Amino acid sequence: MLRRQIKERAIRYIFFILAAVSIFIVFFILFFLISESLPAFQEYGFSIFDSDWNVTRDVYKIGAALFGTAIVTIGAMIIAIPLGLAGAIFLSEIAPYHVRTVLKPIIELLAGIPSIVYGFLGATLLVQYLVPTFDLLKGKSYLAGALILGIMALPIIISISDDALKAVPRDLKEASLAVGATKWETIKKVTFPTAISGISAAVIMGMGRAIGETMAVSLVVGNVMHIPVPPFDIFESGSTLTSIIALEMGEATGLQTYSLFACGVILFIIVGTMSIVSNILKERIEKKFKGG
Amino acid sequence: MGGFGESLMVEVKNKKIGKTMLAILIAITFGASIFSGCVEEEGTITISIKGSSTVLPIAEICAEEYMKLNDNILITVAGGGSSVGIKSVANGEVDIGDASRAAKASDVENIKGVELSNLVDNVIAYDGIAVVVSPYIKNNNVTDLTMEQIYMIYTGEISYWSEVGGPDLEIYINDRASTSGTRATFVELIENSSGYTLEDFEEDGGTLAVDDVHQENSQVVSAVSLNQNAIGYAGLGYVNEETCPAIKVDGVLPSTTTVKEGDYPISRSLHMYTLGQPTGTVKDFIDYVKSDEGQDIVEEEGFIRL
Repeated sequence: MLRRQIKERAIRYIFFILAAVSIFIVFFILFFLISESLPAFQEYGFSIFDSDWNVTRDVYKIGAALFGTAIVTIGAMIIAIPLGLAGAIFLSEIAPYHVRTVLKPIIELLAGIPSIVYGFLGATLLVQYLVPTFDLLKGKSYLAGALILGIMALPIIISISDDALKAVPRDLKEASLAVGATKWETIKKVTFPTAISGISAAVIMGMGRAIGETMAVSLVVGNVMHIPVPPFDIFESGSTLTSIIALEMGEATGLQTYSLFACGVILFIIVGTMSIVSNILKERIEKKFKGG
Repeated sequence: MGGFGESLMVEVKNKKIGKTMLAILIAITFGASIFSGCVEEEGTITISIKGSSTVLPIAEICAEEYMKLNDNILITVAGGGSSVGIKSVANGEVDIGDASRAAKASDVENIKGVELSNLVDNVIAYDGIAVVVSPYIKNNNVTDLTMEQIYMIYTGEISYWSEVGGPDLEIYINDRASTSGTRATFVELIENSSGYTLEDFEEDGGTLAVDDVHQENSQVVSAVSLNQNAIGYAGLGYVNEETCPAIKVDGVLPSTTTVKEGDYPISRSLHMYTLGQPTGTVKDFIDYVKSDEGQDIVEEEGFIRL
């Protein structure tokens, strides 16, 4: 008995230490990012969000990259949210059992494809396809980035939304059907609204993936550090927070390095906030059905 | 229960092994540090090098290789730019000043007792950048551009090939990441008819009208071969007559010969300046850079050997 208790305790401490190590690592990374980016924030203050990045002038303000990340992410979500939600509703509510058992693992497999493969396909196929289709000078554009990221975010959105929809208790749906609502009305008025916090979590996680993605984006977005005129010209090439880090970190010196770290800090804050919000939303849906 | 006892034994054994390993590691580390300490105390010769970021990779790798060949020599290599390199060597701060341009009288005017003639110019390599276009553009009458035309293309004043005698197509402009040494050379040397360079244009707040920014020479070459509207620039070694041909600049086609002779305009020599004739180890190191081994490194780094 005593031995067993010792064993239990030992295992508990080991796991505690492992968990503590991962927390420590996260804080260490955060501390390192902030300390390395501090000189850039001190130099520029809030003007670091202006759009002006030029080695010749030794000016490194990250506004263009932040703008690029925003526009590419918005574009990706415009593509991924409707497709993803439709896919999730089909998968959880409409698809017959055998279709679902085939489709779900395939969609999840899509999430496992390395991002460089998406980037490679984007650079060789998508970019070449966009040029004649839209009569463009260049295929490398915000649009190409948004398309690639939209596709990459799809499996996450579908898979997590599907889980959320599946978690909606059966009696709710049956009650709705029993009072004469059609299948579509039930989905629209009962199932979907009930699962909304889980679905929001799915969308936010998909967005997080889009924002943090580097390899695929840097191959298709063009990496030009500017805000195009007009700014929402999605056929223009641009840069994102991740692509500029990938492109320039290798040979950067001095202030440029600090500014690249500042890009990292901003990414960390955005993605970190999103992951916290999505966790809160997920917890809420779990409480809704289990606690109450 | 027995299983737990066994695993505890194993654990203890592992701990013992771990301790022995640790002891050995510590011994090795200590031994090594004492050993290296000895060497340093017994009079290491130090050479310091500073200057151009273009020459930096050559200097760094040559220094590494040279230190492998010579145990008691320590070479420190730093960047900072050509001006810093020339000033630092002139005021005696470093032994060798790297520069990707020739030293000017203005570089040394504030340094007492040093004339431009005191600096000895050791040319260690040449650097030439080819302007490349898609085969389609080259086959359609654009075989020669002036510096001014290239300047106007990159600043966005010319945006159609028809403006330089080619087909009625928009120009797809390829550039390198701003950290690239090739890019630094390109913007420094491309100038309009009044001698105003792309670098001046950027310094005065201009932004180049580029469409695509690449990390490597090879990516420029592949982008140019894939897009028939494309123009770009790359190190001479990356030119491919069939997929990514070079064009003449001011009437001169880039080649090892035209770069060495100084005929090709987007070229320059790379220098290692010393204060007075180099002597002793410094001379030996510069000779190493100029030797076949050193020149192999020069070529590997994408420059043209002497």
